[in-house]
Amino acid sequence: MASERGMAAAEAGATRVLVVDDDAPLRRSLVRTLEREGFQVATAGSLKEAYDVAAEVLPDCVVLDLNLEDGHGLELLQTLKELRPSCRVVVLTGYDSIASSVVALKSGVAHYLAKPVASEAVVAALRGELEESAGPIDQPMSADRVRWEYIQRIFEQSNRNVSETARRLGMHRRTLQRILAKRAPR
Amino acid sequence: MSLEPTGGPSGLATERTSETDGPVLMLVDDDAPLRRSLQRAMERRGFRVFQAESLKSGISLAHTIKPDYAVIDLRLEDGSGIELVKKLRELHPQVRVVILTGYGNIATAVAAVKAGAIDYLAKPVDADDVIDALLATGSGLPPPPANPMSADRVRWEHIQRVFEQCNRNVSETARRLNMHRRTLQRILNKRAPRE
Repeated sequence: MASERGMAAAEAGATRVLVVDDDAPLRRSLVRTLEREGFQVATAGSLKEAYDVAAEVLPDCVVLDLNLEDGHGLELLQTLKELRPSCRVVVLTGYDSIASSVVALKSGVAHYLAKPVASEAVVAALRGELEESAGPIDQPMSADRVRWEYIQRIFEQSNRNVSETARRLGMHRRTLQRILAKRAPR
Repeated sequence: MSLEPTGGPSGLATERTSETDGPVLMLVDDDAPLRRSLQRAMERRGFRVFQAESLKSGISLAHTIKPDYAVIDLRLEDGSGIELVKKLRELHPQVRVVILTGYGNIATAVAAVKAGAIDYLAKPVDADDVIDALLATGSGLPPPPANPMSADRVRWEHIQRVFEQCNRNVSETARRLNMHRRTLQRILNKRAPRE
């Protein structure tokens, strides 16, 4: 088993959480926080590993990264719900976009958090205690952000197919690829 | 475009803006020109459109009509459009709501969908995008538009919109968009990028 922390000896009653993220340092820091908070933690660094660990652990809740090396985090969602219908999934992504957050929430994700985020917020989201804070909305999006969000939306609408998105937007495939590989402009 | 059959007319004629039998659409935005142009476009497509320009008037409208669909601006003068989404879903659980905004961010998108909105569109939008969003089924987004604007055009339209909102004051626009004044001036002096 490849996870750094497989299931420790079953602690009766502890909430089982699976952390899926390909960023090892972030994974370790989340594990520390979650264990301190009394969760029983398992981890996976890829989509493939996540399928295996989830089947073994039957997690009560999952912290799910979206852009994994071998696929998109939301692909895991159906399996998780089949394994455990009450499974609470919190997305934690560095490639946050409005379109991706809408898709994630409509797919049944309980919360959507953008990196960087305080570990406490992840814990609160897993427990369903994170206050919904819409934040200040007195500043319009920057022009670059609007452009970027628009590209992300067409990308999501094209089922994350890069060639199709490039064709629809009349952009070069490689230009688009470069944009998609970067995080959102502020 | 064919629209799915919907419930009967609300019966209230006071704020009727169209006399056809189409689905009832509630449109709440404090930007009057945008409201008018969206209203015209939606009426051409068979919707019966009822408008409000604020949270308060939106809530009172929600009590007098039975909307099948609603398009709500996120940022109303007297409050958040998300409050209206909640209220509307409470009064009319079947209503399909899309949030429209020029002030989008992830947190408000999350809050809007959790409040029951089915989509969250950043302005500029055209009526076809709005309709696709309103009629989308399932958990995903609607299919991509047939002839989407170019990304550069969307960026340009956004700048123009904020510029108009700032009464064509370049410094103010630059500040709100967090751009250099001269960069903005250069953009404003050029013609629009192709659609």
